[in-house]
Amino acid sequence: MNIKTLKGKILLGFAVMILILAGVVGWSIYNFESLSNAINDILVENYRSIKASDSMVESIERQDSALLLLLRTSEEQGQEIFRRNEKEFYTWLARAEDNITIEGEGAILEKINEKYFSFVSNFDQFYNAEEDQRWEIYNQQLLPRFNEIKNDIRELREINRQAMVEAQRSANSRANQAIIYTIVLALLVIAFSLIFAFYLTKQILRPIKELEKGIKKVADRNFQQQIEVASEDEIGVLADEFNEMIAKLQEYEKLNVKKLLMEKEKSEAVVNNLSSPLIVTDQDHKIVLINETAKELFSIKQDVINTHFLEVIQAEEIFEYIKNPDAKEKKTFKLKKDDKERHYRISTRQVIDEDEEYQFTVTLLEDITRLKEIDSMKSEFVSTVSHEFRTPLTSMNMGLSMVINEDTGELNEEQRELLEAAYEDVERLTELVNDLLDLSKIESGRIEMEFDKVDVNDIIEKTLNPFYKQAEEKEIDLKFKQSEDNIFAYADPSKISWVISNLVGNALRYADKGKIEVDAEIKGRRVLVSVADNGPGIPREYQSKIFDKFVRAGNDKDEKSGTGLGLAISKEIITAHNGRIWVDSEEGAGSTFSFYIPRFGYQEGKDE
Amino acid sequence: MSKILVVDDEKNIRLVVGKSLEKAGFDVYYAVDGVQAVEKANDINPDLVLLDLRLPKMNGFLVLEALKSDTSTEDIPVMILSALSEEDDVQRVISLGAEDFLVKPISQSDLLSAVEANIRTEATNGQEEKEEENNNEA
Repeated sequence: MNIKTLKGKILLGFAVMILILAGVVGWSIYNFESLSNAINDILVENYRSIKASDSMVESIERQDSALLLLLRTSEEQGQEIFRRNEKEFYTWLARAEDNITIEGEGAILEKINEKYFSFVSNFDQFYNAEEDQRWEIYNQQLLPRFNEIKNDIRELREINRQAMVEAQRSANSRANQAIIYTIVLALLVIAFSLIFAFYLTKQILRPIKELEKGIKKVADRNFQQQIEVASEDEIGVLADEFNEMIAKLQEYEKLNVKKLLMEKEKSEAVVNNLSSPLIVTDQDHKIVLINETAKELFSIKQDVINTHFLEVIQAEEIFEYIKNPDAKEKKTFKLKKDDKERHYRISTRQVIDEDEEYQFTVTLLEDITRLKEIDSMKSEFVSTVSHEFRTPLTSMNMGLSMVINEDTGELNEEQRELLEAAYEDVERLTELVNDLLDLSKIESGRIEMEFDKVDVNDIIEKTLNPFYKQAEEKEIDLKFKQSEDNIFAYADPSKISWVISNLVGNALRYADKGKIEVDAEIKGRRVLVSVADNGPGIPREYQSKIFDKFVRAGNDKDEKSGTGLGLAISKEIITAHNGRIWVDSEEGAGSTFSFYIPRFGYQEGKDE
Repeated sequence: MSKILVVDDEKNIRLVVGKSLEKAGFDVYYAVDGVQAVEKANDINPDLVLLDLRLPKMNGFLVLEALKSDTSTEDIPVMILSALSEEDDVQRVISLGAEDFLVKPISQSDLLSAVEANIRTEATNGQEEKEEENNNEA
């Protein structure tokens, strides 16, 4: 029989054990049964015979006493005792005769019967004899007969006693035998159970061990193995499933490795074909990856992987930039390539792993020389165009103003109105041209900043002076809070004044009534200047764009509008100061324009 | 009457600037290029030269240099009226001896006040003073 399942194997094992146990129980019952029979034999067969013998001895002894009684006195009583015991004797003799179990017992009983018959016959002779003859009969016949019978009965008793002893011995031996057999059987069962348990554990554990080993290997990413489990039981099925799983894993890994390799090749191709130099460094600023363009730029010929950045690239400025992993703005550097100065914009990105531990820094150097050229061409173009505008604007401005001033003759209302409109637009155009020129100058760096220690309160005060009248006309409360004294900044006073006047001018232009508050305060290493109004505010979508060129909040193109360049110029000026300008505004609740410039004594890259 | 030499290659500028100055009572002369400007300055000995920088034949810098280096013309005040407004240009013309630098576009009133501030007066030339008085009377 081929049992395939583990359950079957276990059940079979238990079944065998139960069978053996049942055998032991059966054997024990048999042995108890024979023991009980042996005891029964002793009791029933021999004990009865002994009891009969004893009773017969008792009866005959009483008869002997009766004889002695008759010899002396009482005739009646003696005979009565004799006869009663005679009956008693025969009863016990009959019982003994019914229970002949031992060889020779029957012969003895027959002998007793014969002798007792003659003993009773002799009593009749004794009873009928004369008193003097009675002693003679008693002594010569009855007493010897009495002793013979007694001896025969004793013999009977003795053989029965011996039979009893024999039976007891036999029972004892049987019991001993049973004990031995039972012990042997029990030992057998125990031995079998042990063997079975051992076999079962081995049978179950060995494949499980195999599986365990296999799983360990899989955990170590070894997919090149198969588990050998010959059994066809549950464990065998499990092993088969396991092998199948490994095969699938192996296939999956192959696929993944292939994918990874492809991705790696792709990334490498991308990095190497990147026209911009790219360098990846680790936490210790050692180079992890560098592309061909970067090697070319820094004239690197040898393998530099795992070498410190500064050992390979002697550009402290760039290294300082990379070293600081905090968020920062893109910066441009000039580097020489093929003996030509080129502009590079540097940007870094931190690659952070899942545990949010900083891992790598990717540094990209974008060659923006061409952009710079285009930018300067653009500035040049704007500058040229603006200049070209100036001459015709001059003739328009002066020509119109002469006519309006009626230097050329009187004007009617309609003529005046039209000419004044034209004049207004000429002025706006002039403003635009001037702003454009300023912006292009600042952008191209042609305006030199003249940094100095400046009293910010003083600048604000002077800047606001020309605005008070205008504010009053518009019923606007223009106020300089001056909440702090001795605020010194490191700035170009005329440029900062320009920015403040632009911000205040804007606030005045857009507000009707209300108030404008200007203030300055020291904020750590910087000076914060703010211009707050309670005017119409700036819609959220414009707040980030408002510092771009030609951006005006809303779609107002009415006479309120400036050139749309003022804030762009302000931003350029503040940026040139290493500062920052921004706006906080809520539509309908006013705007606050603020900018930071370096506090005097904290300038020159001493940023917080 | 004070004489002003307006040097500009742009016909329209000559027209509006000239008209403005004439209306203000000045005697206005014109030159259309640098060479002509130097010639006319020598010929008419104006009380003020209003000089553009971008000029054909000879640019404004050279004209200025020529006027200021010639003893017969060095005393004539020269005001630059130009579309150029670079710091460098301003510095350069001031160092060459120009009296003022006006950036185009300019309003009529600004032009006139600048002219009046810089024109050769009696303090610099007695003859001019007389003419000035005549002008005022006229």
